[in-house]
Amino acid sequence: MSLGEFIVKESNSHDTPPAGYSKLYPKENGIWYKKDDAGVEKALETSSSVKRALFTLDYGNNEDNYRSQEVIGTGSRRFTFGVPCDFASLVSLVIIGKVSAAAAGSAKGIDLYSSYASVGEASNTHEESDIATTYDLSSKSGKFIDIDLSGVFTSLSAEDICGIQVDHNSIGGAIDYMLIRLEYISA
Amino acid sequence: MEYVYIRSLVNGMYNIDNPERVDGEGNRIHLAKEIEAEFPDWDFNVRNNGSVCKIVYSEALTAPEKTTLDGIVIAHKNNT
Repeated sequence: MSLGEFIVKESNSHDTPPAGYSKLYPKENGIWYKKDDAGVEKALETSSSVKRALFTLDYGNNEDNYRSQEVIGTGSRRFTFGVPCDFASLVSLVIIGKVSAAAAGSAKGIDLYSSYASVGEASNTHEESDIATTYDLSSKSGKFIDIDLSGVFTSLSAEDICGIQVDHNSIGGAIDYMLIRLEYISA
Repeated sequence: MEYVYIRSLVNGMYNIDNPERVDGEGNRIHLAKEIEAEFPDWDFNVRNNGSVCKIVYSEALTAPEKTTLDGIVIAHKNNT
């Protein structure tokens, strides 16, 4: 190591910092991230090899001047998106929605179920679920949030067709989902 | 930690998260939900990738817990 440098071991496992703190770390894909005290993680690097794809969701509701797919307090919805052909590795994958006043609060149970496969494969070649994670939506009334989906897409490949089911466990109110955002390193 | 099962391919579809496993209203019952019902305090997720199903959990399982987990998976897989 040379003067003026510091070295940090890459890891995919990072806890949420205490209230009033943020943390920086590199993950095993070589990208640096920051995480705030609400557990929100964002990639810091904007190199030309990192690309972003945005997918609007099948809609059924008007929210402000947006079109959205509303999931009520005990409801569930499925959404579909695709992986670009130049995808090499995942940086981040989130679904973005607006939180209603009744849904705001701590420890909200939102279950995630994925299915994904490429053309020619069985549609359920990959199926993953996370029903343990809860989400702190305190002070989020009327605000956009992004929910991390990367934990249920651990084997993503270029040109995969992806389905995600979002299942609310009596979270008290609706979230209007609008976009899925995929950030990736291109081949 | 991971507990690994082999998925079998039936008529071109992998069958450990059984699509025929539905409730009285026809809603699909996920394997993860059946595990959660038996072990509500477990921190885990389920990853079915290709021919392998992994139950990824945060703590080691006891022998009786593994036996119970095996029973849940087999009942789900066979829809019994």
